[in-house]
Amino acid sequence: MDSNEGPLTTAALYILLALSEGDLHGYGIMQSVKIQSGGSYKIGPGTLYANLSTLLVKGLVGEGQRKLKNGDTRREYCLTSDGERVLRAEVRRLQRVVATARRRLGSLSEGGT
Amino acid sequence: MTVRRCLLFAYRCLLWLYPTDFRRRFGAEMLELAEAAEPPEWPLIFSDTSVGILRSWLRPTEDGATVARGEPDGYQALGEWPLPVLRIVQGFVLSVAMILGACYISSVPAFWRFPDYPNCKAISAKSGSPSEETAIRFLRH
Repeated sequence: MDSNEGPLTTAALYILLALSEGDLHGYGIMQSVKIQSGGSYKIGPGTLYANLSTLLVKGLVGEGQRKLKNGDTRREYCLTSDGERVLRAEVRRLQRVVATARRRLGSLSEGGT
Repeated sequence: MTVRRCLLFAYRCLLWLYPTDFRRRFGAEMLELAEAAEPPEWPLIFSDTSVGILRSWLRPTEDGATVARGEPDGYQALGEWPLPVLRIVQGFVLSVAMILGACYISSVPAFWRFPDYPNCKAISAKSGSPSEETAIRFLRH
């Protein structure tokens, strides 16, 4: 995916952020999103897997199998280099938004509202 | 325990409404998530999955996972049955769910009542901003 494609959705941003910590399975991503947002944003399985499907197709997320102690295998997801690049671009974009918002809100508070 | 089992059964049925490719790929994992969920999380899981099902049918993924595959210029010969029975049943259940949902929404009066939005004029007058006349004069100028 090209970083010029536009902003990431909230769910996609949280998923990429969760995977930036390390490889995670679906439940791990859900828990990580809950912790990252302080419980204010919860992602359900429908949103999670719809987004994962899109991110996999775009090559921003990869998948692999991890063998568990009991012999079962579990699918895990990881952040690809493209995913990391897009995440960094999105964070930069958000920083610019926050900087603009701070300036404008600052001028509003100076105006006495 | 029985309630949990019933909920899991209902969730399994719900997953069945996903397009086949999507269900084959993620269905087992989604069921695992539901099994690991705490009781307060069940409403989120059901509502989110229901919306996800509609979204997956309305907005297919880019790999065409939810789009029927076929030849680029293929056509359906007369007498051929184009859709498998499973697809027809899925479509029927989804249609009924959407119609019932629309009926429910239209029956809730609060849904159609617009909230009282803040009055910008009052706010601007309060904060000492230019009056309406000044603004009109400015625009005419």
